Amino acid sequence: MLERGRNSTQSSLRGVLNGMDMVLELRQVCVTFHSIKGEPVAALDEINLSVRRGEFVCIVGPSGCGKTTLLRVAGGLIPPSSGGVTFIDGAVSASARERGIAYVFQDPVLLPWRNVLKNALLGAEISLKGPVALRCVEWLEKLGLGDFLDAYPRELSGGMRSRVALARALSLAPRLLLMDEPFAALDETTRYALGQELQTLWKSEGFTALFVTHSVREAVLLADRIVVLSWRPGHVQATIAVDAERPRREEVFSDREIAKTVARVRELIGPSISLQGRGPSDRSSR
Amino acid sequence: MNRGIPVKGPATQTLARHEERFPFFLTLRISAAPAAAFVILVGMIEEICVLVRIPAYILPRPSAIARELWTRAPEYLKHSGITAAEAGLGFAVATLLAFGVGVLFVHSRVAERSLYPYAIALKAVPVVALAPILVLWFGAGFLGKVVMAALVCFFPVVVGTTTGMRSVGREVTDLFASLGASRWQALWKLRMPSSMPQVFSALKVSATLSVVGAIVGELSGSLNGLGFVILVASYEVQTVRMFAAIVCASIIGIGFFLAVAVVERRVLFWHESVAEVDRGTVLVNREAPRSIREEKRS
Repeated sequence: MLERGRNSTQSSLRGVLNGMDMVLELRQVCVTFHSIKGEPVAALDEINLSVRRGEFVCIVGPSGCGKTTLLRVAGGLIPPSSGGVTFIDGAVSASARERGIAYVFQDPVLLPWRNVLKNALLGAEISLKGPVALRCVEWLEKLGLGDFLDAYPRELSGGMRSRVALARALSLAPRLLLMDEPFAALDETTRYALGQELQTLWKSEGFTALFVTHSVREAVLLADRIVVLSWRPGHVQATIAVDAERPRREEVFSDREIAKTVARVRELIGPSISLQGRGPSDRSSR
Repeated sequence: MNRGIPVKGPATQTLARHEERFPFFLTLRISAAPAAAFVILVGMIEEICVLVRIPAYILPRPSAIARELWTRAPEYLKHSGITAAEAGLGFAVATLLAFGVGVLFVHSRVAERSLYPYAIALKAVPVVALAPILVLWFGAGFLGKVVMAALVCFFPVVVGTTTGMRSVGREVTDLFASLGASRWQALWKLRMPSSMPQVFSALKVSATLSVVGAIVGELSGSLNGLGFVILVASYEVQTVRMFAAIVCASIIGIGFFLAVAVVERRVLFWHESVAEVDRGTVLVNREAPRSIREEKRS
């Protein structure tokens, strides 16, 4: 159902979206913040983005281009300044949880006074739903944390904390999983390993994923489609499909097509960084 | 030799295992140094009193104070009990009220803007100056002292709870919002627990202040309690008794502080401040903590 859309197009649009099996659609989404001085600062500029059911979409772009803002809009944490966000089957003004959206943040944000199991159970506890304790244990075991159910966050390594955060999100059985650079704080090896696990889980569980990252290689490893955002105010520069068999491993980068894709995405991000020198105001007055 | 840093070696490991089974010995080892310092200090004062021949009505010898406490123990116990009850009750009342006010401030900007200045104003009023008025209002009995103790304790806890419940990061707030948590759930599951470090440092301050409040209340009019003992002794120039009462008051204050610290250790087991202490005294000699073990996957 439409959340913040134009009423005239509501019913026809829903039909179209259902036909294409969409999970999420953003139409002409603009977000403008007020700076401390009170001047409006455009963060997102006419974003059009749709995510199909079961798809893995990665969003890349130079840092500060509004990737996180985009994800927050998609998850309903902040409203767009203009434009519409449609989440299929979701009730108007329902919480992200009720619409089947789960979040994984850049920081694992575990509550330090809860042990691993209780952290994973947080979502279930708040929404008071389902036979979740069992499911949480299952997820934690799948992610290799079976022996650490009663450990506290400060006893865990960074990779394990990220896994707990992932288990907490997945135990809600989300239809859409929003991830905001979830592995950014991890070392290269752990990051790669978690990416591999995420791929496997995504394939076996069949959820839809929207994944923000600033690592082009990570995006290429994970995504069906890569959405490249420009420097602020962020708008969609290009959408690039990645065609390669899964599970994708490190070897995939020796493939010529993939290497081309990596180069292309890098190129698209590259020039927009140099635009920083000219300042964002040049672009917003465009 | 590597003295003072007990990390390895069979002897220290045996000691560590022994202490783990009998926590009393651990307490003994930790408290040995301050106890020795205490004995030396008191002994020095005693010697100085004798050598310099300070008159007993100026500075009584520590042994004289000890004898006074010993011979009239029931009396001191009774008055200490009353002061401790006043201070403890005042502390409890103030803590509950302050916690409520803190919750109100966090949830209502209007309430905070209109009432916070008065909370600060209350802090700025010299409470000692209020003591005679409290006697006028509540009489020379128990209640006035409880009010006085509560007044002294109130402000630090209000500030502690308010800032504590505020200090919640954006990502955790986002997490709770994305899970559809109600305000009540966010308060109960997020704000309350994460405010505990600040709340407990405030409680440690106000626990000792409560004894000060109760004694100030007693000094300005009462029929029992340590403040009463001090007042009467000062009229009679019984310096030994004044010092004995001060010792009692200090013990109560220290006791309150330790009680809060013990509760803090249990509640804040997850917090760095407590974890740090653990690592320093106990974990050094134990097997490697969990995080050092190999990660199962990856």
